[in-house]
Formats: sequence, structure tokens, C-alpha cells
Amino acid sequence: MIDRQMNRNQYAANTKIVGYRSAELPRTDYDLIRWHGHAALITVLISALFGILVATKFNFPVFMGGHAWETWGKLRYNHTQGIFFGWLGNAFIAFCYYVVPRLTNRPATSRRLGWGIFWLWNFVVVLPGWVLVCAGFSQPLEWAEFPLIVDLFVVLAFVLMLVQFVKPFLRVPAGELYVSGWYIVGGLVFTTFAYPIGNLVPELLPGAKGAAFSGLWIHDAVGLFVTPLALSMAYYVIPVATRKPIYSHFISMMGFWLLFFIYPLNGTHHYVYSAIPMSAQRGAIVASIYLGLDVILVVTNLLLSLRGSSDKVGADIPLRFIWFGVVAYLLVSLQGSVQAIMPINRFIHFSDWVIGHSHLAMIGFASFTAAGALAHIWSNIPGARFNARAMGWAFWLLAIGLGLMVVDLTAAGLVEGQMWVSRAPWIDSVRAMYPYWFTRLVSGIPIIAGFLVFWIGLLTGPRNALASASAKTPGAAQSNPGSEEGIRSSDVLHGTPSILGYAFVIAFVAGFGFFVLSFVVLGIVPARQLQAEIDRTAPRSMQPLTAAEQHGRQIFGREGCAYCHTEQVRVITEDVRRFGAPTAAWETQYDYPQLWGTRRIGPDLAREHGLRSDDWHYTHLFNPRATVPDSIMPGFAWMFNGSAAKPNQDALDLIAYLRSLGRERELAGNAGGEQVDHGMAMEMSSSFSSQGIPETRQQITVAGLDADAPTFAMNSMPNPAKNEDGAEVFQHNCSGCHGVNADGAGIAYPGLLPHPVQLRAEHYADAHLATVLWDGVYGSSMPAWRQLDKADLEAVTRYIQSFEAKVTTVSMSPQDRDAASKIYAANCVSCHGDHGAGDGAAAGALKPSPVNFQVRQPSAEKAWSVLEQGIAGSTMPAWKSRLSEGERRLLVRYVQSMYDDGQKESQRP
Amino acid sequence: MINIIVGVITAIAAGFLLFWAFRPSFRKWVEQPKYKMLKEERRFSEDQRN
Repeated sequence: MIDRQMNRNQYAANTKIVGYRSAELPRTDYDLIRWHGHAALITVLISALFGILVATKFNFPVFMGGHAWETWGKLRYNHTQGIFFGWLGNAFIAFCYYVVPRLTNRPATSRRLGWGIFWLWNFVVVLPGWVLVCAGFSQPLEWAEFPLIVDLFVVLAFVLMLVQFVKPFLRVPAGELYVSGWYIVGGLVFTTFAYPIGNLVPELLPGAKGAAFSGLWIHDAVGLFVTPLALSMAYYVIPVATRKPIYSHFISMMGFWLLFFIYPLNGTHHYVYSAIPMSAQRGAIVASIYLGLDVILVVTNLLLSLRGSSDKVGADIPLRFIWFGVVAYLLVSLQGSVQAIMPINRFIHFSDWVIGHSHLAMIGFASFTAAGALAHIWSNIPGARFNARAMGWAFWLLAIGLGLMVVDLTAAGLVEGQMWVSRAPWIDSVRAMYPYWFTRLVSGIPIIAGFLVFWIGLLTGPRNALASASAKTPGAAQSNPGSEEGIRSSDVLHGTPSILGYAFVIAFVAGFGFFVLSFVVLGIVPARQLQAEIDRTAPRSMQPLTAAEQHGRQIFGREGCAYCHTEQVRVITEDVRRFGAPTAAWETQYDYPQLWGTRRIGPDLAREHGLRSDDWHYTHLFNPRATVPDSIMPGFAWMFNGSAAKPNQDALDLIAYLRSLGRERELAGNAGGEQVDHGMAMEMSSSFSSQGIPETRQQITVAGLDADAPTFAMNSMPNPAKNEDGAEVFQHNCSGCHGVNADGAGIAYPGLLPHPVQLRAEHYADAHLATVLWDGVYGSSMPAWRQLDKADLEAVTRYIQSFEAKVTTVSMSPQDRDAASKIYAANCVSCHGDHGAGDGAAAGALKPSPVNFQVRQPSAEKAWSVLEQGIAGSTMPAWKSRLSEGERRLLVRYVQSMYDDGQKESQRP
Repeated sequence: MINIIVGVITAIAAGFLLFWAFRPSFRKWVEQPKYKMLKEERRFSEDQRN
């Protein structure tokens, strides 16, 4: 009540505006500042909670996994959008209400408009955006995850903010517009144009062409909205808190213009080594390095502005937050420049390194700066409470949490990058991340606690009297105000308020002009080049997705799958070696919007066509750990009717979509790879090891295998140590299907047809076992295991041999053999062949192929069971009703007698 | 094209630097807002105090 009365008095005193040079102060909308400030803190707590839940799911994938609205992907969408709109958006708006009257000597345009913006921003954008994402309405584009209907209101809000905050700047004369105002005008104007383009164009331009625009927006969101507003805060709070002018306004201007010119040109560095033209990629890389130089300029200016004020940085809580933000800005920007460079990018891109980088940017730079500015403003709001002790705690909680998170994720990224180039199985890189992801979860706790304590700091403590900021800011020294040494009024050009004032120049050159420039140079021009390339290289036969596949694609986007699985094979050796041919522009010409992705937790899916059986996919989707025991992928059980064998329409369509990925490229054959440009071809021709990064794992080369049968099973001598290694490899890779006891009863068993084999119930020839491991079993869910290295394959082979059924020597009387051979010839030979080699006349049309009894000997019990029941999911029927018990017993012994340890097999031409 | 653009902006930045170095009145003019900003802030503070 007291606050409201104070505010009312304040407004009554300040609402009369009498021209630009009025001695009276313009109105400051303290109540709007407070509402936006509290909204910022509430939304950052909710957004951080989303982040904590996401981090928890990394460690406990089944945590909160039972409902469609709480999947990892949706929570991830809401985490980033909440930070962007809810936390930083509200904090920036609060700052604008405070600073615009002080920089322009005019109030924000309208209080009524202010309340409209508040409700629009929080109750039409943030809250509905979160709800819609959880309900399955979203856009699978980074920093653009809220659905298009919400985007419409975001654009409306930005237009209203232009009226509210930029309009007062337009009549400020040249020579009087402080750099904080430049950043507010430039940032708001640029974002008003960039936001709809970045969100809408990828929906209209498919694949690679849309990705060029997505890349721009990813960077514009951070670089042209978050960064300008945060720098505006830093440039404002530092001189006010130190009561000294900034070191150089000229340098701040240089920094401003270079930032607005260069930052928009950075975007494509998110798609280095992609199908986007190399010229655009190189341009973005050059701009990224140039940007680092600009940031050095800006940060130097800001830190020099703090010279002689180190005591205040320690004592003044808002200034301490700002100082931290400035240092983080330098670090994250230099990091960004370095990671855009191609040799670094190929190593760390898609990894947790980038996640550490983005948290350093959004928490270290933007959030610390926004928190510092909010604290500064709060300490100057008449009647507001301000708890300096809580703020101090908040600083350290946030700093400790962020430090731990960034160090952890940076190290994690380096480990991931190393494993990805090493040819280790993909799942090894996931397993290696377990401790890092746990540390990341732990680091999130002090961060969310820090934001909570910060909010408490704004709600508790003594109320401010109506006094200056420095007087009430704890520890702030009462130094002399800034002097104007050497500046006489005759020296400076007091510009006349003019329609051609600085704000107009900023709005049209920095805000609009540089927006147009960047979208032409890195959006429209590459898109035209890509279209020409597509026209030249696309196969005439290329078909768009079917309706079911298209629906599956929507589900893929809706569930946030693209945040773990990229759909682009980059033009680098290690990507091609692991996944297949690099993604060509023409392959993406029906992708509305592109789903290339910027992060890999699971493997790339661009070449998924034909790689695994549908059963495997259904089982994996129902319970990922059934087929990949170490997976952290969330299950999607609600897409099934109780079991992996009963997918509903969503699951059917999603798997249909996955099945389509890479299909057109495969059908195009060699013609599909001719479009790789010369710059990329050079990248491909340079071997990775020549760049000094050693290959860490021994490998069987594919070329070597084509020439010779896989020999790892036969060449390795029995070795007890290998059995232990083999058991570990088996548990990590095989147990989900074949069971931890190798009895065929793994978790995935019910969903896979034919069911996984019972390894204990059969004996395999060494060569056959090796072939199955190397090639998989076509027509079943048994995949090829070529990603395992030779030592692992040897080890798992020996392990299987240690418990498989022993060879049974069968002796049959001539009469029995004769009878059995007649039964076999009458009923089995068309599939299994004359000599049981699985090469009967019908075998070629069957999948999986009929069993080759020469290399695979079932135990008597197993053979009997199959003859009685058949093999579900294969063409092997049940013979119980067709053959007598005696005939079946003869057949069991007969097929067992065919086993020769692969000797006949090896003699075949 | 990106190289041309970066080259041009570098040249313009260098031009501004030279202008700043050789025109004292420009230096004073361009630094004016940082003093004006503090003066305005002081006005608000004093008004609140009163």
C-alpha cells in the first residue's frame, strides 16, 4: 500500500511533460518496472526448473517419462524460450522503463500501452507458448520453438515496444544520445525485422535454403537482441554506480557499429561443413573472428571505465554482477570466434562444448548483466525493498553453479569430440558422458537457488527511501560525480532535435540496413545458389514424403528429436565414415522446415533408411533401453497400446518417416554425390589423422573386409581376460535383445519378430558368428556391429562361444538317415537346400534367410521346439500338425548331423 | 562478397579513427553524451532525494 501511494505521488509529480529541455522530470513507470521485474524472476525460476528437469532426464531417462507433455524435447523447448522471452525479455523491458526517461528526458510513450505490453508479453506469449509446446504445438527450430501463432504476438509486442521505447529517442538531438540508447534503438528495431524472418522463412524455404535463414536467426536472437540490451545495461550501470563517465564514448560507438554490422553476418557458422555454399560459410567464419576483435574493443572500454573502482566492484552488488557479465562476455565471445574456425568446429560442433558456450553466454553474460541492472534499478525504486545480503548470496550461488557447469560441459565436449572422431561406437560417447551429465545436473542446483535468492533479495530487506542510487546501494562510495574536463558548451555541437537525429540513423542503418544486408548476404544469395545447385543435381525421380511420413516428420519435430539427432551428415571424413554420404542440398528440398539440428546426443539419422528393422525401431521407441541398454533416450510409450508390438498411428508414422531418411539418396546412387563443391571436396580429401589428432581405436577396414571374410573370431586364441571384456561388451550391446543371460529373453524380446535367438541353445561355426556380427541378419532386427572395434568383436565372440551349446555329434543308423532324408527332401529342402546350407530354391525370396545347418547347430531341444511351433516373424511354419512325432524326432537329429563347422561353407567358390 | 563488405567497414572504421585522431572538436563532441548521461542521472537522483 505504501509503495503504491509513493508511486502515485511520484507519477503525480512527474507526469507533466514540458518540451525537451524541461526542468521537470519525465515520468518513470516504477510500477511497470516492478511487475516486469517480478515476472522476469518468476519466469527464470520456471525456466531454470525446466532446465533442471531436462538435466535430470539425462541421468534418469525414465524420470517423468510417462506423459506426452513432459518429454525431454518439449521441456528443452520451454527452457530456452522461457529464458529468452520470460527472463531476459522482461528484464530488458523493465530496464527500458527505467532508463528511457533518463536517456531521452521523455517518458515511455504510454502507460496504458505499457500494461498492454506486459500482458501481451507474459500472458499471450510466454505462458501460452509454454502450454502450447507441452501440448505438442511447436516449431522445431532453435530459438524459435514457440509455434507460429505465438510468433505473431511476439512481433506485435516488438512493434509496440518500438512505439513505447524507441519513439522517445527519435527527438533526442545529435551529440546527446548516449550509447545505451543506441543499443536499445538498434536492438529493438533489428529484432522486430529479424524475428518474423527467422521464424517464418524456414517454414517457407525448405531444407538447406531454410537452414541458411535459421542460422541467421539463431545468432540474431543472441547477438542483436540479448547482446545489445545487455550492453546497454552495462554501459548504463557502470558509470552511474562508479559516478564516473565511461572511458570513451567514441570507442563505445565504434563497438556499437561494428557489432551491428558484424554480428548478423555470423549466423551461418552454425552450419559449417554443411550443404550451405562454402562462400557463405567462409563469410560467417571471417565475421566471427572479426566479431571477437570488436568484443575486445567493447570490453576494454567497459573495463577501463571501471579503472580506479575496484573497491566498488567488490562492494556494490549490482556493479559486481555487471562486472562478471562483462568478463563473461569477453570469454564467451572469444570462445565463439575460436569455435567457428573450421578445424576447431569439426571437433567440438554438436557436442556439449557448445551447450557450455551457450550457458556462458546466456547466464554468464546476459543473466548476470540483467541481474545487475535489475538490482541497480531496484535499489532506486522509491519504496522498493532491497536485501543486499541476499543479493550477495545470489551472486556467489550463480557464479559457482555457472563455473561448474561451463567447466564440466566444456570438458564433456572435448571428450565427446574425441570419441566421435575415434570410431568408437556411438553409444560409447553417451556412456562416457554419464559423469559429466551428472555434474551438469548438480551445477544447475546452485543456479536455480541463486535466482531464487536473488528474487528474495528483491522482496525482502529494508525499503528504499527516495534517494539516489549510489546512496542506497550498499557499499557504494560517495565519490565525485563525473567531470566534464575540457568540455565547454561552446565546444560541443548542441544539435537541434531533428527527424534526422541519431536515433533515426541508428534505427535505419543499424536496425534495418544491417538486417537487410545480412539477410541478403547470408540468406538470399546462398538460397539462390542452393536452388541453382538443386536444379542441376536433383534426380528427376525424387519423390516428396508420403502423408504418413510427413506426419511422422511433424511428430519428430514436435517431440524435439532434432535436439539429439541431427539430420545432416557433414562433409568431413569422420561424419562420412560413421554415417554415410554427406547431405546434399537436393535431398532437403521437401523439408519444411529443415531439421538439420545443432546437437548430437544420439547418432545422426540422415542415412537411417534400411539400417534397422521396423521392429527394432518400434521397440526402441517404446523403450530405448530394450535395444540399446546404455541409451538415455526417453521412451515414447504413449505412442503404443501397451507394448512395442502394438504401435499406434503416431508411432507408425514416425517410424515411416525415419525409414524415409536417406531413401532418395540411396535410390539416386552415384548420381547423388556429384554436387559437393570444391572447397568441401578438399576437406574430404584431407585425412583427419594428418591434422595431428590420432586415431585411438584399432579398426578392421571395410575395404579389407570386402576382400577377406571377417576373421576376428577364428584368429583370436581363447583368453580368460577376453571373456570378461566380452561379457561387458555383450551386456552393453547385446543383452537388451538376447537377454542378460543370453537366453533370448531380453527386454526387447516381445517387440522383435523374429525373436532374438537363444544363444545358449545353438552352436555356431566361428566364421558364421563373425559374419553375423559383421553383417547383421537381413530381415531380422539383428544389426551389423561394424562400429565395434576388432578387440571388442573378438571379445564378444569368445564370450558367446563360452556359453553357446556344445557341438553334438550325431550318429544315425542308415535306415533312420534314409527316412529322415526323405522327410527333409519332401518338406525342408526348398528353403534349407539339399545339404542344409540354407540355399534352397525359395531361399532368395525369404527374409531372414533360412537357417544354414552347416554352420549353425541347434540343440535337440531347440530344434524340437522350432519344429513344433515354427518361428514367428519368419517363414518357418510349425510342423506339429503336419509331421508325426517320430518324423520330427528324426528331423531333429538329421539337421543336427548336417553341421560341419563351416567346412563346406569355406570351400564354396 | 563478404570480404568486400568487411574490407569496406574496416576502411570506414579506420577513417573514423583518423578523423577522431586529427579533429579535437570531434573528440569533444563525440564524448559529450557520457557527461550528459551522468548529469541527467544526477537530476533524477536529486529529485528523488528531495
